[in-house]
Amino acid sequence: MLLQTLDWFYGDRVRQHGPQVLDYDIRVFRPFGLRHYVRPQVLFEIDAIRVFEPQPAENAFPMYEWGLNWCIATSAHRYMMLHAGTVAFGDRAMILPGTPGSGKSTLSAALHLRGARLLSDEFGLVRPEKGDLLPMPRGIPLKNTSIEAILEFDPGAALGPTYPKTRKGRVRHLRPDAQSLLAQHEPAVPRWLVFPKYRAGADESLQPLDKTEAFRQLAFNCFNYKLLGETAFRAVAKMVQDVDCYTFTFSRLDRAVEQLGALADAGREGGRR
Amino acid sequence: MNFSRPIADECRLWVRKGPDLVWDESGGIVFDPATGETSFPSELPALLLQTISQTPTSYSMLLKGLAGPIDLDENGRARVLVALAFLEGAELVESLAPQTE
Repeated sequence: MLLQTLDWFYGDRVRQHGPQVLDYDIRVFRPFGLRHYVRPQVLFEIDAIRVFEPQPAENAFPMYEWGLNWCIATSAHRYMMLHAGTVAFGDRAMILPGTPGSGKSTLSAALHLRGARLLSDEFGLVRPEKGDLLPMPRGIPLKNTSIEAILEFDPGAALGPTYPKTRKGRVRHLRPDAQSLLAQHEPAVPRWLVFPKYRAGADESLQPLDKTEAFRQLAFNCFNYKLLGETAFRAVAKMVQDVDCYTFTFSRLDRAVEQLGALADAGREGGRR
Repeated sequence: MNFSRPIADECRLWVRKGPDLVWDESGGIVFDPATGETSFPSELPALLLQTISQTPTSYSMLLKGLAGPIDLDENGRARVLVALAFLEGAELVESLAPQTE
């Protein structure tokens, strides 16, 4: 079942042939013993180490996805890791940093459904030496009411199976489009930094954000800011200097996507700052 | 931080020890390689921080550097002391007791 789901989401992109460098050795498997038969469970191992509690077998795919996130969060420190959704318009990236509940995944999903290239959800990976964003297009986990919000926004959205009981509630993943998967080795240049805030019933409001405050918020949303020290300081400072910074309050996805799409169109016409 | 202050702040010398600070382009955000901390000093503390070097400098010299030939009024001098206390609290600068013969 897990392999079928992986195939539906990523197709050939997860099957590489020929010489390759493997970053992680991951196993997702059902343990032997009674649990193989009664309320079966699934385990996640990285380099033969178990890092999560066993999960119900039906949650193998979300566990695999969260396990990948764990691998990145704990070891990919050659990159600056932003807690953000990232999408691209052409080769220009819009970064949507935010804490859980800010709506960044839902907004990234909606922008992607309207044609923006999906770079990544959850992690924005920045190469500090270049300042560009590395794509990592994977299923966007939509949680609880976000699922209905996306289906209302786009009834044809390619959502995977429903996982009704995960540790984050009810989850369905939005599949990245083929174009985003094809372009997964093509970095994008940050152009807009938008701090989203979902607020039920609020009118959409896109407000320019002072650069110092943008620095503060971006550093706060950088998982390894402390660890990278001066490298992260310089990377955040450069990024904030190079991009347009905004806060964005929203409640209706159609209006939100319209506004951010207009911002992207205007920015592309004006070129890079 | 030094909580016992036998000498008034006005008498102390101010110094930046450790590696050079790293500033962003705006000059309003500073990274201290010694502690790994990022600080967002407002205008006056930032100005003082850019003035204080590895050579201990007196409060009166700092005032002269800030105000030039104009004497700061009492309120201005008090603000400088508050700013210095902030910088010391953030461990960006240190204050030393002046050498006595």
